[in-house]
Formats: sequence, structure tokens, C-alpha cells
Amino acid sequence: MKYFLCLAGFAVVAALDFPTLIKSKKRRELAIYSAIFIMVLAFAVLVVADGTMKSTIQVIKPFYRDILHLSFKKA
Amino acid sequence: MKLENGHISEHSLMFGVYCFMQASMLRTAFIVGVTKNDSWAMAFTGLALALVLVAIYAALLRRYQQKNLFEINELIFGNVLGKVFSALYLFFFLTIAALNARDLGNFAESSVLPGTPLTAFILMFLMVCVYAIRKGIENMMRLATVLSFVAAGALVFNVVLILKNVNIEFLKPMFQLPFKNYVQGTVTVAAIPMGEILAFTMITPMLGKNKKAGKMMALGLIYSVISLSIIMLRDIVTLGPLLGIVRLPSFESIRYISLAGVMTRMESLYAVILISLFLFKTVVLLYASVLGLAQILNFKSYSPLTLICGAFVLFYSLIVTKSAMENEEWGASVAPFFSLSFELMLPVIALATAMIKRMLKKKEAQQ
Amino acid sequence: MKKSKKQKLEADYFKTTKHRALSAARRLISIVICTALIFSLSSCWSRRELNTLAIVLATALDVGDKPDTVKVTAQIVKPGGIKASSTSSGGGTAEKAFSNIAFTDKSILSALGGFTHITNRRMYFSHNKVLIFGSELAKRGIAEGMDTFTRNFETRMNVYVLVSKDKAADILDEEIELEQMPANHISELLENQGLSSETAIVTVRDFNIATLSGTMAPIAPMIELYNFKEKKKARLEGTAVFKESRMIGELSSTQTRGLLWITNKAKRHTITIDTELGKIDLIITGSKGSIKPYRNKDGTIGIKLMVNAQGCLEGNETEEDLSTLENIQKLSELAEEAIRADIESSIKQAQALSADVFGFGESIRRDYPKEFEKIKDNWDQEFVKIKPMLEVEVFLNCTGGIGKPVKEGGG
Repeated sequence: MKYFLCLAGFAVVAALDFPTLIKSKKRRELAIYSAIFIMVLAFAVLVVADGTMKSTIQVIKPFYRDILHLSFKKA
Repeated sequence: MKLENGHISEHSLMFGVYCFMQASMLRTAFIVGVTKNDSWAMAFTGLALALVLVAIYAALLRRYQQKNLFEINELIFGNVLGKVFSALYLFFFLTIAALNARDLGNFAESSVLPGTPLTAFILMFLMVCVYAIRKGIENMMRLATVLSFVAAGALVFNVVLILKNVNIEFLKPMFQLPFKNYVQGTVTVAAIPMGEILAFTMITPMLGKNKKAGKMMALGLIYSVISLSIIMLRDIVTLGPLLGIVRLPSFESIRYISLAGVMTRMESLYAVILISLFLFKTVVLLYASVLGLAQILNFKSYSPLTLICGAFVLFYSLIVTKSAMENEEWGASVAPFFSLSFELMLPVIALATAMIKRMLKKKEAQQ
Repeated sequence: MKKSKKQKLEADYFKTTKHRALSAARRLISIVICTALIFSLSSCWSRRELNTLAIVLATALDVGDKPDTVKVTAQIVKPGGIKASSTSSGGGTAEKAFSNIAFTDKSILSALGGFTHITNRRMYFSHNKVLIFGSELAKRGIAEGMDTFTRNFETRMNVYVLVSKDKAADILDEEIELEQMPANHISELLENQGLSSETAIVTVRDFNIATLSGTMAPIAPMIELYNFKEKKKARLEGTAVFKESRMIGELSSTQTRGLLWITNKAKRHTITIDTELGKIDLIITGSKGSIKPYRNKDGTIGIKLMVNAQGCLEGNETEEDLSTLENIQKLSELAEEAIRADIESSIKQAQALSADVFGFGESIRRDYPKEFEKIKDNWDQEFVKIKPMLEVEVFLNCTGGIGKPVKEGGG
């Protein structure tokens, strides 16, 4: 179900964006847009599929706290 | 080649900054946890630090008239390195946009629309954001004026209504905490809500002349600092020691309002205004990201990228943080430094490089 | 030239038809989107209709029958009942406008969960006005109750906290006549206490602030049932004193009054003075109390209590003309004496309980934070030793509608 909803959402995005891009006849922009579209779609499917994915701030925090030693202590 | 042809007035920019900052009143918990009953003063010390940031942005914008941050990067560092810098800023804007969307989502989920799935709320919210950008950011900036007055009016209204239940004594003892708490409070308040106005450097070229951008940003910041300190003062005198333990101080102090049994349940008013303010903030951040992405990719127009960026922010906001607790811990520990590395470090590098380049050029000319 | 113009016209024609088709598609899409957005206007994901909610107006917490359990009693509005009793003018025999339900379980929240077994409606706590603890539970500890009722987003912090002398659940069954719901009766009762200033009015926020301060002893007004014409009715009487979230003692009405004088909570109060000539009633119309710590010469911190009240002469049983300036002066001195007696009695009781109900510790922390750091850890012993300076001033500024008393042949 959730995959279906996700894909349906992206189908709407595609339906809204691609016609104008194709009409404008800018091949380069179309190609780049398609690449971005596929990347975001892949990312979305990953997020939907994997509930245990590490959060972004979980990834960034150790970098600042342990490598750069820049961190406040939580009061 | 220009990606954005809209025009905004100087006052729109000022009110835009004000609205942008007011959206952060949900995040005062970061500061009040650290500086307790002196938090209201942190708004002012934080302002001093934030004005330094604004001065740096203004210096950059003055050197490169009518250019936005990403264009300035390319002019200073050249095509390739400039794009790397721009990409870093892009990551920052998208992360902040996602964090804000998530913040609002958590707020709505816990207190305004219980039972509504987070995803559904953020989806609806971002749909409106994308729509606003598609229709032109200048309309949104014009709306900021109205929104500012509504937000300021609601603040005055709430403060007057709660006056019956406050205890001024809660402000005492003043300035008795360890010094490092004040440093932490100042840096946090300067980095987290205030420094985020970096996003406005993507909008300032719409002013036409960049000269007054810095002044207007500073003015907007000063007005919002006054509001912020009033908000924190109100929360301190209403909640007292409770301030240290509640999750949303402003929300709780507004919930306490009960005047004559009629003027109660004011938090719905607060929630509506907060959602509008967050909408504005997210629109600005999302616009900065979309415009920047179009710039990096050399697109002729940014509008085809709006929707897909919105979709990205939706899914990004779902994983940017796992829970409200994690977000809070992040805000109190690493977030100021994370923000400052984009708000302070990168612009300083850019400004320094620009100055060195200019000096070298002068020397060459002299020789 | 001619040809090109024709071509242009043709092109324009095609453009417009194409444009029309496109705009029709656009319009369709926007209609679909608008329709979809309508659903988001109803805001909440799940629906909660009014007739599926049980609106709770008062909650009572008691010790359960089994060991280590808590009994939660909730008073729910019965909208049908309100109508019935307002049409029948007596109201005594009409259907009740409320219904009380109770469940016992290990914790408050699990008991609330248990309500789903006995009622078909969902409990809704946003309109809860009153939270009553049974004294047995209060003596065991109310930390769980206070935390739950503060933490939840549905409950509010301006809920009144009370302690009942007996079972808290029985208070919600009081037989009332003027009001339709005991919950409203109790909350309005509290709101009217300013007229006598003998009951502390405490909300969840106030209680929590006192708890969080560390040195202050939280208080809550007490409520009890009494028999009047074979009906059980509730009345407010005295104040419960807490320490470490356990009830450790009580203040009488007089002592509560003393507490309210100094904590600047007293509003109106009638002082009756017995003189050798007869009784005299003075009404205090306004009062300002304050706690001011000061530094002694030897560096220790003392407490100064100041009460500044205004009042009127409102009753005179004697035949004396009390409106003369000399008599007014005498009366205000007597009133000062009465107020001072209240305060001294409450300080005595508080020190006997070694519970800082006034917030002396807090006021020292606010004004002399460095000195307070030294005495913070054994504040309980320090508090008992404190001998506050008392300064009471009463100013009588009117004598009601008449000056001289109503007496035989006096006119």
C-alpha cells in the first residue's frame, strides 16, 4: 500500500513536470531532471522500505562531537 | 541570464526576516533549558553575534551587486570549486527545510492534530509550499508584511491576556548561572534561529539594488529579537521553574490563559499563526534550495525543479530526525556548530578569498 | 507579406485551440487537486464526533481496594440531563446532568485505559476543571498523578487541585441544588474564595512550580462532605501541606488566611472584633503582602513580612460613633492585631511541620542567591529557625453608607 501511494505520488509529479520539460525542447535539462527524478524516487523508496535507516543528524552528530570536538553539553 | 525576474521592496525583505524568525519561537526550548530565567537576555546577546553574520553577508552582497549567494560563490571560486561550495549550502538549506518541516510535523502530531500521520501532515504542508514557490516567491514576500502584523498582534494579545497569571519574581535571581551557560545560550540563539536568515541572500537580488539588503536584514532581525525576548519573558514569568521541563514553553504558557472563562483555549490561535509562519520559513528555505539547484545545474528556469525538491524534502524530513527527543538533543548540543559552519565559516572563507583576489589584482595593476 | 499574415492567423488559430485543450486539462487537474485539498480542511485525520466523546469535567484519584492500585473516578457531562433538569424547575428529582464512572488499576493511565471496558465513549480531558486527590492517596504520594496530568497534551495546567478529607470519589457525588454538576460547583466555589480569603486556590501549574523550586512546600485546598438536611454537600475547609509529594499536614482556615496575607493572595476578608461594647465588623477590601529577605549585620539573612491592607467599617453593633478619626485609628490597630495573629499562627504551624509553604527559601534564592547556596542543603533546619519580622498596616478608608450607628434616638 505505502509503495503504491509513494509511486502514485511520483507519477503525479512526473505528469506535472515532464510535459513542460519535453515541450521546452531542452535535451540537457530533460536529461538532468530525469536523473534527479530517479534519484529522489530511489531515495523515497528507500525511506519507505527501511524504517531503521539512520537519521541524518545521527550521522552528522558524531562527526562534530567526536572528530571536531565541537559540542555543547545538554543542560 | 537571470533565473528570477521578480521584484520585492525593501520592507518586504524586512518583514520577511521578521516572519522567518518568528517561526522559530517553537524552538525556544533549546535556549531556556540552558539559560533558564535569563533566556530573554540571550535574544539580545545573540543579536550582537548575529549582526556580525549579517555584516559578513552584507559585505559579500555589496561586492557583487545583484548576485545571489550561489552566483557569488561561482564568481569567487570559479566554476568547479564554486559549485562545490554551492552544493554545501544546498545541503544546509535542504536539511534546515527538512528539520523545520519535521519540527512543525511533530508539533502538529502531538498537540494540534493528534492522530494525523506525520507524513500526511508534512505532505499537505509541502504541497502548499511548492504551490507558493511556483506562483512566485515575491507574492509570498509581499504576504510577509500581513503575516508579521498578525503574528505581532497575536503576541501582544496573548501577553495581555496572560498578565493576570504572571509572577515577575520568577525573573530573579538575574545572571547567576555559570558564565559558560550564557556563552552557550548566545551561540545557540545566534546560530539556530538567527543565522538561518542566510537563506535570504538568495532573495536579496530581487531588491534590485543590493546596497540596503544588509540594513533591512539587520532591521528585521532587531524587530524579531524584540518579539523573541517578549515571548521568552512571557514564558518565564508564566511558567517559572516549569520552564525547564516543558517541551513547548510558548504553547504551555498560552494554554494557561483563562480569562473570565471566555478567553480560553488560545492555543488554537497560536497553532494557526505558527503554521503560517512555518509555511513562510519553509517556503524561503525551499526556494533557496530550488533556485540554488537550478543555478548549480545551469537550468534556464527553476520552476521544473520545485516539485521534485518538495518531494525530496518530504522524504528527507522523515529521516532527518527520528524523534522529538533526538531533535532536542541535537539542537542543544551539535546543531549550533553545524549551522555556524555554513552560516559563518563558508561566508568568511568566501569573503576572505574575494578580498585576497582583489588585493592581488591591485598589485598586478600596480606592477 | 499577405501570405505571411495569413500564416500567422492560422498559427494563432492552432495555438488557441491547442491552448484551449491544454487549459481544459489544467482545469480538470486543478479541480481534482482542489477536491483533494477539501479533505485536508477538516484538519484532523481521525474524526471525533461530539456524541462519541465523554467530556470529563472532574477527576478524582483514590487509593484502590487492592494493594498498590489507584482508583480513578471521572465525572462526565450528560448533555441530555442538562436539558431535563432545566425544564423541571425544582431539579431535585430530575435526571442528573452527570455520570460518574470509576476504574481501579495499577496506574492512572492504565485505569483510564480500563474505562474502555465500561463505557462506549472516549474520555476527553480537555475540559477537566478539577483534580481531587483522596487524602489517603495524598499521604502516600501524588507524584504520579501530578506528572500524568502535567505531561498529557489533552489536560491543562489551569486545572484546580484539591485534596478531600475522605474519599475523593464521594466528593463527586455531592448532592447539589443550584448547579447541575458537582465539578462546576467546586470550580466556581474556588473562584469565589477571594471573598473570604480563607482557601488557597491552587492549579496544577502552581503546585508544580512549588514542587520544582525544591525548598517550597506545595499546598492544596481541602474539601470535605457535610450533612445538611440529610443531603451530603461539599465544603472547602483548610489546606493540605505537601512535602516530597506526600501530604504531611494541614493548615486550618485561620492559618490559611495567614498564609494568604503574606503571599499576596488575600483579597477580601471580614474581620470581626469583639470589644467590650459589642461586635464590630471590618471588611478588608484589598491587601498587598510581600516577603522581603534582608541581610543582618552579621551576614545572616532575615525575613521581613509586610502586609498593607485597606478596609471599611461595615458593621457596628455598639452604640458608639466609630467614624471619628480616633476610633478609626483604634479600629485599624485592632485589625492589624487580628491579621498579625493569623500570620503568627500560620508560621507556627508551618514551622511545626517544617514545611516552607510561604516560599521564604525561594525569596532568599531570588534576592541573595550566593547566601542561599550555603543554606540550601539543610533548608529544613534553617526554615524552622527563622523568626520573621512582621509589619502589618491597615488603613480604614470608609464606613459604608452611614457614619453614626443605627441606635435608639440617635437621629
